[in-house]
Amino acid sequence: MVRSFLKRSLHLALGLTAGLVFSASAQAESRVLCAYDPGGKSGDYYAILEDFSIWAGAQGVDLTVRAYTDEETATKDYEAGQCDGVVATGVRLQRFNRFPSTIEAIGALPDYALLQQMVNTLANYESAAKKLRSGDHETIGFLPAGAVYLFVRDRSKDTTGELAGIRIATMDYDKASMVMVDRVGSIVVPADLGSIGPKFNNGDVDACYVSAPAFRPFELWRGLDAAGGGILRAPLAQATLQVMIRPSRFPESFPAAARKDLAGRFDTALALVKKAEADIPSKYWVDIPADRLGEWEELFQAVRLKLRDDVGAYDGMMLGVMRKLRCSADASRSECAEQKE
Amino acid sequence: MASPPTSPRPAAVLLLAGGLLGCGPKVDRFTVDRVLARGLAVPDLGMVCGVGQSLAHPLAALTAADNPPKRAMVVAEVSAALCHEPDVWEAELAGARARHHLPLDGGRIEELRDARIREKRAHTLAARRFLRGFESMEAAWGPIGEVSGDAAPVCPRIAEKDEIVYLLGLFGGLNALLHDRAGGGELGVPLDLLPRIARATTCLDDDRWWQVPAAFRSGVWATIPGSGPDGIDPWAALDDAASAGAAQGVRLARAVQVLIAGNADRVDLVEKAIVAHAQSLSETSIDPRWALLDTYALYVSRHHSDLLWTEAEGLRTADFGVLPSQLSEESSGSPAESSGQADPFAADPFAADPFAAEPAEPPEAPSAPPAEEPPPAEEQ
Repeated sequence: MVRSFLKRSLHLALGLTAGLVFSASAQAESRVLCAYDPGGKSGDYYAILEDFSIWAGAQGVDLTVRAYTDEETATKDYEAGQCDGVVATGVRLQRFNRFPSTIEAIGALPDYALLQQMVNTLANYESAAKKLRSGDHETIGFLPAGAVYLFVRDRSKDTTGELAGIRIATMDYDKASMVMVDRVGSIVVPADLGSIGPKFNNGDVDACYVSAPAFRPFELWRGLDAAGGGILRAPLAQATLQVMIRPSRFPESFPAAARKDLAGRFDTALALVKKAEADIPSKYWVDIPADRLGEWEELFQAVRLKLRDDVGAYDGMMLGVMRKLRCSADASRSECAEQKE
Repeated sequence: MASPPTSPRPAAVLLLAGGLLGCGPKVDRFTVDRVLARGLAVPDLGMVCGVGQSLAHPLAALTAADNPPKRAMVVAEVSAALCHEPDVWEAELAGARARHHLPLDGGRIEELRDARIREKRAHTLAARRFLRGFESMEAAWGPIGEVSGDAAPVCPRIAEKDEIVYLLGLFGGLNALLHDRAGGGELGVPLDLLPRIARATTCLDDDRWWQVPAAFRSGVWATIPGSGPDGIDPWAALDDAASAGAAQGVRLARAVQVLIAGNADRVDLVEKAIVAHAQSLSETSIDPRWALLDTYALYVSRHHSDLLWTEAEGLRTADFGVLPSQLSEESSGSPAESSGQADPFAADPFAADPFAAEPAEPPEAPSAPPAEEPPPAEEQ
């Protein structure tokens, strides 16, 4: 009799469990992720996000990725409530939460290994998760979009002092670059993604800053070839595509799990970036001599502090963690003793 | 008993091969003037794909390695690439179908993953063939999209009867890039191919080629920000090209519009283009000389329609030109509103529920003989 009771209880429990699982999946509503990828549906980042959406499906979240070839439209649609999540560069998402966008701070992460360490840190610590949420916006992933380099039409201009007076194509929504350009005494020439290439190639500006994947589609070698130009191999910043969602539209456990999953896709995205960098002919790269790197780093730090203290564009805690990472990789850096960040 | 596969008579093949052997230009002329001209008039993509697959190696083998029939190879490789596009499309639909059922059945995840893998593989296979076709075109006419000192596009000399090959080569380049990217970039087709193709289209006459060069050009402008001339809306230019091309009875520019808008996930534009494509089919008859290209265009647009239908309803297009979004709009209004007829069920003729109470026993009627059942059908 006892055995019979146990058997019936077990069946009941299994039935209830199955019912709960079925009802949870049956009730899963579709969620839309508005994802910026300049390549559209055949783009590399779209492909990564499609794979991510399949992973989300396995978690019971039916996620549809909608491709956008225009970043601002994707962000506006997210703001207007047409999407439950958005994928855009950190600088574009700064207005929602400056903590995650500060990962793109000028000169803060000089190489990809440090960027990956930072992304893993953000994915693994619960304390970081709290900072990644601001109101009903939560950042759940960071994909590398490439280190941003300065492209100059005159390759001899490779010191900070020589940038004074030159015209630099500057994204008007990018506060950090405005401050940086102002700091070195260059002339801001307002530009957007669509006008950077033509302005640089036609000589309307003397310099522009983009990451390697833009080199081919914008045919930037035309501007480089015109007057003996070059690409300064000193990353100005690490561009990232950040995945932000409205957490109220997802299960409670989803953001943390998604952060771990997306952190695991970092290498796939990084391989794309490295491929694009390797695709740039070596003749265009200008290596900054080691004894001159210091002046660039001092400039970067000054700009970061201004953006933290005066402009309020950077998050101090994020800057501090990134300084710790830099110093753990190279304790001999002068900033490690100063602790200004 | 299955009939034996048909094959060309060996004597005819030997004769043909003997006549063309060793001479690239002769092979080019035979392929472009005879084979291609014949194929373009027959609206059968399966046959053209088969011809491309079968002929690519024999054509290349007819001449010495340093004197290949370059134009013939453009035709053969691009035609052969068409064999892989249905594989891409089916995999995309399989993925969309699995996703459509996803909320109800978690087991569809593996199906979805498998569809993604199949899709990527098929994309890469198609890209490989399109790329070989494009490379043959560059071998024939030199690098495309070069610019002179004043930044004007430089065009090679293209004989009038070879312009179709040049157009196919550009088509191959565009598709090589799109398929390679969608397949994971295994071939590394460079992204600067797009602006080069845009410039190379100016070497062809838009009107002569049903606005397809203009559609390629504005499609590239829509894809790469800032790559077009100032003050021109690339999407509007693309729509203009598609409409003008359709009026000529070859709707390939419309298919390019669908392809580019689909890649940008501009569902609004894809839907408009599909409706316009269907409407054009009822208004403008196919130019029989180019029936193949018009049929291909229909297949491209219909595939994008299939995707919309599968995502929304789980099945492909039943009636080309009707969109799932139209159905949902209609169903949200009353049928009378959508049909314009009076709704016979609009007013309730019963004051109360007529089925609520048990009916009273009917009065006994005189018994009638039961209706004769039809005799069972005789088994064949």
